Amino acid sequence: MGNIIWLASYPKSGNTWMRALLHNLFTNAREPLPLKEMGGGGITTAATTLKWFLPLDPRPPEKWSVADIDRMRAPAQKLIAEGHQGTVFCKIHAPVMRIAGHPTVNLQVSTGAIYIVRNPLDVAISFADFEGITIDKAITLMATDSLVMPRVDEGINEVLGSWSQNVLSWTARPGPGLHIVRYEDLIADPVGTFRKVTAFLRLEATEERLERAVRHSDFKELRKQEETEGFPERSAAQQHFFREGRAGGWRDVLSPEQIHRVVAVHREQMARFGYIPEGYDG
Amino acid sequence: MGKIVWLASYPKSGNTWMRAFLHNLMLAAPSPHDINRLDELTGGDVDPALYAGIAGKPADSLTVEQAIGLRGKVQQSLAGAASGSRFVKTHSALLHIYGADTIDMGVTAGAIYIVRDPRDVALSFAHHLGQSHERIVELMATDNAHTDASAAMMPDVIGSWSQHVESWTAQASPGLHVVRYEDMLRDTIRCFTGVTRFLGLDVPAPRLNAALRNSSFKALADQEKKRGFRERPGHADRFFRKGVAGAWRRELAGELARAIEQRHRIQMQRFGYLKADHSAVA
Repeated sequence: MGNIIWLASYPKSGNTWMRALLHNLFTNAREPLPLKEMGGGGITTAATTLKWFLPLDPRPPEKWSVADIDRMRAPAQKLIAEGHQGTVFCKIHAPVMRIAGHPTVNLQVSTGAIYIVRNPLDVAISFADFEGITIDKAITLMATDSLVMPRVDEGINEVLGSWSQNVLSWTARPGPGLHIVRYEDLIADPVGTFRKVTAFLRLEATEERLERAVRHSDFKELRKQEETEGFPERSAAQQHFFREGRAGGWRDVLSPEQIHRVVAVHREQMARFGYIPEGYDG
Repeated sequence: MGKIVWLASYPKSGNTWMRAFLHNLMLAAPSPHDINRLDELTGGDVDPALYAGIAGKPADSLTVEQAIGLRGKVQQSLAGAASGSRFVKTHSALLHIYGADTIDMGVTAGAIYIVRDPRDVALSFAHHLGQSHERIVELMATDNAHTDASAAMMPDVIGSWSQHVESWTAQASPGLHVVRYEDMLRDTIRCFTGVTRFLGLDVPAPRLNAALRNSSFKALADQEKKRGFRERPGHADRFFRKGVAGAWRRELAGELARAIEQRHRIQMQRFGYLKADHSAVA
């Protein structure tokens, strides 16, 4: 039992939005929290932040091999836990699994998880944009078991697994330490959905405070900030990190073949969260 | 309408190496071409999206027989999308099976076939699939064996090792160029010069040497070590394992080596992996 609460999700599923909500809730400032301050402050960190790995290997990171990194993920998470007094929220995109025999998530230092799930039909569009690849290629990557993304520069590479593997690994066993959020619910009813998150965290937030956090983390606000200040998490391939922030865009973008393919691969997990489109239930 | 030049081999026989060489050669990049972008010039023939699109139904609802039946149309669409010739990687044996041809000669311009000592293939394939040597030797001995469908790949008839090799190499043809993995390793320049001549390319020595340097086993393994390779299986620590010939002498149990030699004697002799008196070639 540790002090990390995971903010876990497959990429492009609302993780940054959830971080913005928590930061704005905690700071409760008059003005929206600047995006660039989300990294600091000791409230949230990320499982792939390089500084947690640096103490584990004295060599410069460019000398590390991916096999070295496979070994370092769990120990780095122990350092995250030790590096924070009390609870820390840690963003993670990895499924709970082993890669080359090494755990991706250190359960010994965990105390709970908020898992955010989003319709993979929408994830595919956003993931393609983020990676600068075609939607077909994104769908293939999302279907690839045990997928480990390549390193970018000297960064820590993300373990993603397949979309279904990711969802299942975090949500298969419900428990008091797990709270699942659907991205679509966050869009449809942000205050109500976020209120449940705060209840899970046993925070007593007034309605006013909740509403302010939601307002300050609104898509338009995040997008506006990105346009004026930029956002370091934007990928080189992207125009904007905060792209559309809506649910159901797949209806206008994906071809019937692409929908077929996503549903064929992820049917079981999609059904659990009500994502099977009409006419595809057979 | 273009045509297909096949990069054909049994799995774990040097196909990825050949793809990397061709990318480095054609693109003439000063530094090694990204191993996670080996699909820029070489496509594959088992992408489920292509099959679902042609079948008009989900790829995972197709039986192996139906998938094989669609291969011709898939290959026509791969060729149709190209203006001239394009490379397509395949692990399929060249067969008429389930009432269909695995390779559509109507859209085929030629093939580079790579063959490797099956005793070394067994070691590499076992590592890749995470299965026992015994199980792999059995798989390699099974006629008409097919790979299992996965979310990212359609099933594919690889046949037995002998069946695979014989099916592609029995008939000599000006459109067929056969290379031995062992020659790629030991007689690199001559072997790859042969490949470029077959492709009708007149490559100046500096350019060939740069391509070979940038796609050497060490260059590929270094890239994987530093950045990772998306095609690595989750249970394994790496894709590019050793890149040597003859490791079977130390790592493969004697009785399994004998089993391979007995089962695949004729094809092994054709490629110099066994002497006519059945003894192993040094």
